[in-house]
Amino acid sequence: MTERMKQIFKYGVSQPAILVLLVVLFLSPGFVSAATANRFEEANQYYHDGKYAEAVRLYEEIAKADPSLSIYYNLGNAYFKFGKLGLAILNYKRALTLNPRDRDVRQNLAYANQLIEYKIEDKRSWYFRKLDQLLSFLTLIECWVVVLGGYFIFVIGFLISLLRNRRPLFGKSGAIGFILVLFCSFPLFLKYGALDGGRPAIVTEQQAEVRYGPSTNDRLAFRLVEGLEVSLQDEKRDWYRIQLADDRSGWLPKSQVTAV
Amino acid sequence: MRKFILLIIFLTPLASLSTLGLAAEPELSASVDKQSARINEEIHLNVRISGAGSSLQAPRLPSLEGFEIFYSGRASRFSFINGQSQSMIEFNYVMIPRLSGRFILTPIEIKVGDKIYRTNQLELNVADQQVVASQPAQRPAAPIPAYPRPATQARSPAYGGAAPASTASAVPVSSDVSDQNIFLQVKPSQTTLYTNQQLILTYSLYTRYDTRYEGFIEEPETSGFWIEEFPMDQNLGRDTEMVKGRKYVRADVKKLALFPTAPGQYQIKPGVVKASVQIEETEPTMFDDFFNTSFFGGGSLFARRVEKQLAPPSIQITVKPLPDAGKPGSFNGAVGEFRMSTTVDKKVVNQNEAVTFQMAIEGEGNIETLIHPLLPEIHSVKIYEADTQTQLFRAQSMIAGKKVFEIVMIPGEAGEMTIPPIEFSFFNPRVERYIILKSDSYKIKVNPSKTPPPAVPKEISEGGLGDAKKSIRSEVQDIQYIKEQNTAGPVFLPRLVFWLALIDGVLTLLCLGLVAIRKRDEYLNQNVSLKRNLFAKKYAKNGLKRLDHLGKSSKSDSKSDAIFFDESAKILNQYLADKLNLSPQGLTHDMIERSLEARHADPLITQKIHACYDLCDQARFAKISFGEVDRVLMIKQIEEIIYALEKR
Repeated sequence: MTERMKQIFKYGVSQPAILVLLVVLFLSPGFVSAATANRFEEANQYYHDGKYAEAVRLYEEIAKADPSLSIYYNLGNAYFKFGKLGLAILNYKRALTLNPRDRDVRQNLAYANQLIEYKIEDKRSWYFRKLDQLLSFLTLIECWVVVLGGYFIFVIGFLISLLRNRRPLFGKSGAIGFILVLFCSFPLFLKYGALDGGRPAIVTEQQAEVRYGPSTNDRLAFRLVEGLEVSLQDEKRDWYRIQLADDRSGWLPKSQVTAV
Repeated sequence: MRKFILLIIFLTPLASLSTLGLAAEPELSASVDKQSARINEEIHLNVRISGAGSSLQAPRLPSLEGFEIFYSGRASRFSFINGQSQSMIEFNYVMIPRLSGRFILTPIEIKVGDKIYRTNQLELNVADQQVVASQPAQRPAAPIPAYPRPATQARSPAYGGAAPASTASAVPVSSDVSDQNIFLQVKPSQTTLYTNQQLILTYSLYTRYDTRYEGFIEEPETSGFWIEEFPMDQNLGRDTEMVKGRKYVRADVKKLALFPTAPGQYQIKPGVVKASVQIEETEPTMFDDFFNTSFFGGGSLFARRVEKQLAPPSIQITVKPLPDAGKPGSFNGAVGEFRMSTTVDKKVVNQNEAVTFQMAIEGEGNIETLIHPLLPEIHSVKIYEADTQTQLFRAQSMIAGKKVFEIVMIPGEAGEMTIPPIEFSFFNPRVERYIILKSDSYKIKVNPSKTPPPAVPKEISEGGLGDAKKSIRSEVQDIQYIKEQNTAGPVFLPRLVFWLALIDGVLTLLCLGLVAIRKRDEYLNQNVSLKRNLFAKKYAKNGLKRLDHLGKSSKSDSKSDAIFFDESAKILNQYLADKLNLSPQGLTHDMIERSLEARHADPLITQKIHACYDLCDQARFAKISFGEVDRVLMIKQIEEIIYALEKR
């Protein structure tokens, strides 16, 4: 199972407690432990009082144990106020993976992006950019629901037709249904990274030097500033091979970039 | 375009002649307009090549420390006399010395075809500025004259950047960079005017270089004035103009209409304009040959350019208050020349219904800041201001416009409603007098009606007030506040995905199973012998169960024995027929024996089968009574036969 897959099923499959819940309380709402709730409120109070360093520390702790949209969003805000633009953007992006339609997160991310000194020109074709924009309103898990739901309908229909009339195994309607399922699964495949080919990541160091190879002996290709989005293509020892939206690529130390 | 085509037609044979070697050996010469100059005084360098064709690249000048060098264009001349072609190209440069001393300009190289030609060497003497400081052209800037100034001098221009030395009466020059080949002139239409009177500020760029205008880097500062940007043409107009005996290209880059809001002394800072000039020409394209000689926006795309910042000095403006003498009561600050027209949308109206009275004021002046004239009070009529529309346009060198006021009147009583003449007055600065305009009076018939008076008339609620509302302005941008509720991570959707995946998997397996079964059935239906062979045992086993049941349930007498053994014979018959692919009807011992032999069956089995049949025949036909032991034995025998045949 790939790293991404693990991430997707983090709440669904890999946690045995939730597996039990799945059987017993399929539709029960999620809950937050009392300890987490207390620490969350404490962190909020720190933020409110302007003690951003303490707020960041506490939010980070909660995010490790009990990640949620609110945690990532508040952590992003605390980093923003603390002057760490890159980490703020990283956490807003993480919040968006949980709910890409949250207005506050989108607004703050847009504002934070405005403050980055440089921009990377997106050199992909317009339809890729449009598609990316549309897909950014769906989470991966929602894509899964669409695909699995579509397949469910198809397979039920297939089964009924199989049980009712015994002759045509795969008629015209079956073919249409199958194409529909394929069509539904298209966004999922795209979401899996067919668009940019790698894991999205954010530059978290104020100044990052991208080199032509995975060592400081290699020549400097270009410089990036914190907050810029890159995609991770490969890794070697302590280096990531990164690619920008304008197709330029190079190697960056792992300490200077964090995967979303 | 036609000129261009003609030039091509004319030049093509010339170019081919020169390549044929008919043209003479190229001649090169370089010359300067003066050999000695002082610091910052421009020297014109001219490089002339004759007899070398037209497609020549501008020579790259050897670098010369202490000089700023600009490329100022090329000129070509062709003549065709007595069958002999003569071509001559001149490249012009402007050199501005920055250091004093004696300089030598090494020969300039030009590549013609494969050969490199060199010009003569030039010598230049640059003297210190002090030596010639007393010369009139370098006189320091004159102080800004005190205002008010006589009206006859009001139109004198202000020069910016490096301007040619002007006369003592002109507005002074800022001479930080004395590049006389480019300067910006800001010309106010007048320097003394009345409050609210229109003042036009014209920005003209004068240049002798190949110049590109790149906009304002510092916007004009005009506090105390209401500003309207003058709509400029898409392409900057160009003119050639002589200034102090030199020919310049002039382009008006910006025009502003200013309206002073209160009397007093004002200083307008015209801002800073950026322009870039081409220094040297690189690879000339075909178009460059014809079009790149010192014009705005021309020149090769890849030419090296130098940026020039042009900052004209500030302008003093005196704003006089409007005279009190003869000021009418209806005066509301309008200055200029206006016309007024009024209309009403209906002459007959029902009681409590709206009539729209429209008043349009049109002309040159402070249209934007016009306030609508005072509305008269009419008995039992409600009056609302509904809508105001402003339209500005250019009228020759002034800003003109039209402002339309819409007034909604609702008569509360039936009868006749009279709209009295509405008075609008303005000050005309040209004749320095107040002028009063009066609209027509309207009589409107009001029919009685039972409709109640509206709270807010429809005309206002729909458009009027809506337009008058301001939109909310953002003060400072910042991030949104944190979320105070921590909802747990998504639980429902991952579970849904899990269950959907599980159910989908089970359903898929079910489908596959069903399809497999159906395929097997279809295959067996097509191969009957195989089907019989496969199912022979199953049927026989079922039959044996039936037989066992029959044996246990009935008493051991001859009748029930006959039934039992009859059934036994049938089961055995059916099994053997299925297994050996024979018809169960008319199955003889012989057929069974042959079939088994063909399949190399054990002869013992054949004997066993015969024994079984014999026993059955005895019971069925000889009516011999058998005991229960024989029945069990019979079943066992058949089982053994099935087992032995299945084993094979």
